[in-house]
Amino acid sequence: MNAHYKTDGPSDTLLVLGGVFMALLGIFCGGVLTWLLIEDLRKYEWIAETLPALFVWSKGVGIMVLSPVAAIACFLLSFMAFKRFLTQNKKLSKEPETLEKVVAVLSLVAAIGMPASGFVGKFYWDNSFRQASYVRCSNSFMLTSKWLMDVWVRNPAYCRDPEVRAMMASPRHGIDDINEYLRDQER
Amino acid sequence: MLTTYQVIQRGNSTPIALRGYAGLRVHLPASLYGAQHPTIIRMAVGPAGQRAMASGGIIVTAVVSPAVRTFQWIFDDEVTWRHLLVNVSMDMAKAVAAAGAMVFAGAVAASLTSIVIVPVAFGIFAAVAVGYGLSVLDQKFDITDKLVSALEETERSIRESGREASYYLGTTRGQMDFIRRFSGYWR
Repeated sequence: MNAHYKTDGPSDTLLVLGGVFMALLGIFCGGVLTWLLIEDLRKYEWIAETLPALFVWSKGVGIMVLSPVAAIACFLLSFMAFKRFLTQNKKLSKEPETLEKVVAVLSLVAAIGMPASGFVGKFYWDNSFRQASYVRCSNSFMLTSKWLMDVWVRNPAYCRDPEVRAMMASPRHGIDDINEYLRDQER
Repeated sequence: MLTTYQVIQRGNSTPIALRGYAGLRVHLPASLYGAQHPTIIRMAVGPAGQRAMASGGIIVTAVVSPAVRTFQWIFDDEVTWRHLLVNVSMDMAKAVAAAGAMVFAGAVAASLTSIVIVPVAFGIFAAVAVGYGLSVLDQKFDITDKLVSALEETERSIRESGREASYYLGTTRGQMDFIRRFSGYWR
């Protein structure tokens, strides 16, 4: 480097806010996303046990499988931020430290692995629903107004049922109400 | 993978210096790039690259979301202009939050480590986590549906007020009622 090149370290504000942000992101990934994954796995068990006429399944459940890895990476980065703030050692070393390398590997695994596990999970769950004789509604987006949701039914005619569409659009009706209505129809 | 970089402040320009074995860097073989270099922007290296990636995400959402939601509004009788308004607003809010998280996470990671891949990976990962997390929380707590209901309620109360105003101001009986209410005649 030429002598007139100058590099400033990060400000204290960025280190503290960054540390807090990364810790919150870690809590979100380690806590909220893991809780949502457990909820979805419970829902899967409920589907397998009760075989409802209609259910809604998120396309991206698999994304959350690697969320604990992401959470560890976030906590490590948060630790690094607070350590730099407390020691006031703001200059980055020319050669990355071991902790930086660990964070690099974990963040890469999380950034590539989360979308990849999303695809693998979607493939796995789609197959298991198809094997249980379910059909995905082609108009899932029109039914749910959500980008990430799929509607699975035992009978494709349910996708076009105006009453089902009205109940899906109404916040007053849940999936249980729709299944009750469909059970009555089947009788 | 563990190539390191450093953003240098040199007068008004902030070039990015890359370290590591150049023979292994297929896309960025030079050792010094301008912050606005197209390859640097495309690879999302440095603050300008991160910002370009985030703004790209917002632009895609700003184009795709209104187009698809309008299509849904036109062809689905259950979807009203309130759904259109709330859904587009929610999509934009999620996109902006994800882009903000991406830029901030990238900035924090860049201030803590010089490894090129870490800010990029954390940026992608933060955007995915925040965007997906917000979508799941929205679906879990029915935020969009509640906003649509609130909008319907507001519209109903505005109509009610309009009807009351036209009664009190537009009819003789209403005007008499209005005077009675304020003069205390009815007591």
